[in-house]
Amino acid sequence: MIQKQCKVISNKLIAKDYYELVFNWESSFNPKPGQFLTLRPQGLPLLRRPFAFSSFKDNRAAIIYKTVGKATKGFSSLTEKDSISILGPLGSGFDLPKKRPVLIAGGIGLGPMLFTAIDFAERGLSPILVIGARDKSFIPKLELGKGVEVVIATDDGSLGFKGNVTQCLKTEYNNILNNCEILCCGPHIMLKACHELALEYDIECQVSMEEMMACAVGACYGCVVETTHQEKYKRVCKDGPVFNSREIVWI
Amino acid sequence: MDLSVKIRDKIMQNPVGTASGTFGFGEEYGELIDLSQLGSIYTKAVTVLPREGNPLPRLTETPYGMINSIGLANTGVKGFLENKVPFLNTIKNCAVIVNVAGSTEDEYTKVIDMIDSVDSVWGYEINISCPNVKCGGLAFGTDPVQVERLTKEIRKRTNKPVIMKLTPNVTDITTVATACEIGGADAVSCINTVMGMKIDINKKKPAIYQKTGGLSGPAIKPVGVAAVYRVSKKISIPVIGLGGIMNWEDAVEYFLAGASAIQIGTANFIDPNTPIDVLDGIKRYMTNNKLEKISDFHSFIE
Repeated sequence: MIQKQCKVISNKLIAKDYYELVFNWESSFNPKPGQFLTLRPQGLPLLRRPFAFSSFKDNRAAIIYKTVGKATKGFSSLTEKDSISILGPLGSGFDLPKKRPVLIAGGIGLGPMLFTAIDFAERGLSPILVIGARDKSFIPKLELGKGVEVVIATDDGSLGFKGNVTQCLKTEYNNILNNCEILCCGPHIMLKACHELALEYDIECQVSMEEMMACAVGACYGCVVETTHQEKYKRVCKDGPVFNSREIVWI
Repeated sequence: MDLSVKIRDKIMQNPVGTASGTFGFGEEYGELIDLSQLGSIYTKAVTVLPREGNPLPRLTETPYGMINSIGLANTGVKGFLENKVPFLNTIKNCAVIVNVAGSTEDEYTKVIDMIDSVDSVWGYEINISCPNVKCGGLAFGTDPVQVERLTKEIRKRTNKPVIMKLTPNVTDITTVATACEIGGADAVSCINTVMGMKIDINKKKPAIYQKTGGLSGPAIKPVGVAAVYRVSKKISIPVIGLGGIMNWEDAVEYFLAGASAIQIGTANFIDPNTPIDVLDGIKRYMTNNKLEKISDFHSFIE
């Protein structure tokens, strides 16, 4: 990991409330799919905000973020003239799956799953990327290239399957579910549903967890999740953010 | 220019340290900054037995600060000796000060008995002020009689510097500081976090599991500066100032208030380079103001 000032290359609205921030990342520390960074807000609030890498290629990296509070609204006004303080890459990434990967993205979890999908496609793993959203306005235009099968599920049916991601998989991809591995990032309730799906089909499931963070480097023990390990709490920032779903105590 | 700080019979190379609980055992931040440039590292609290810490959520952000309730999560003194000391042994020049916490006198002294022979342990900071554990910490720190007795017990066991870490959550911090001095402490750290609470008005619930926690960050700086000022006027042992130091200007304020050294806490989370930048800023200020040593700061404010 390294902390550095990075030049903003672009910062565009890609769907309702969702932005893609592309910045220069020239460093010997190359991010892996599933790893994250922290971005320092301009002025207030104080604490750095964690975001997963959504792409990395040719000294350019990106994140996808949603404007929700003061910090992210501040980020949305960044332009090519600005530079930003980035600390990364942080945490563990996704492990390479042993079976065909089914990548499940919900909401802001789209960022890391796009990065993972492109990486896995280049490795010839034929990933299926399932994207869940409330309605079509939250789904950006995607240019994923060859080798990624994209499936969309919206709650209102305005695009793709009508229903949530796990209903979509059980209805339309039941044959694949018996012989695949799930990798997912999104709201807690979706991750829990993915874990339950993995138990039902007896398949592996990697989940990327999110918790409020302070240091993001493993020092403060603020961002823990409850696990089944003897050491009850594990740090999302350092021991994760990716965990085997069976390690997590799901509430 | 002489930046050194003497505590008991030992010298810290400069007055800038990193506060307990914000810097782990140095290992994580060692990848980001040169630890050998720091004056001191105050480790995360070590207790006799492992502690899993408090249930989550443990953190929340507040205006100009944050509230934490980690609950002294640590692997216990055996885990410290096995897993943390090997790295601490590799740190050059910088004083490694182990923060010790407990619920009874016995728990504090056991930790010290078990680590006192470790050469790389420069001294101790005794945590009598953690607001986040039920039966210990703060219960000691608010009662001058217990503080004096605990300080005496610890003093008997070690010749290394003993620094008592004080809580601002008392009626009069100077009476507790005086008890530390009488008990034989070599210095005091002022201040630990200020008890705080945040409530989510939509959920109608506290933002952290423990309901109340420790407020840190720039929000508490004036509280820390006042505590350092009052304590340093009252006792003659060195006062180590902390609470909301974000930059060198804040550090200078603490020195002028009477601090002989300072600690950087929450600012490490925001910019891990803060301790190094603060040290550079202190040097520039001393040059520009023709100050030769840290004690020169203490002559300005009556």
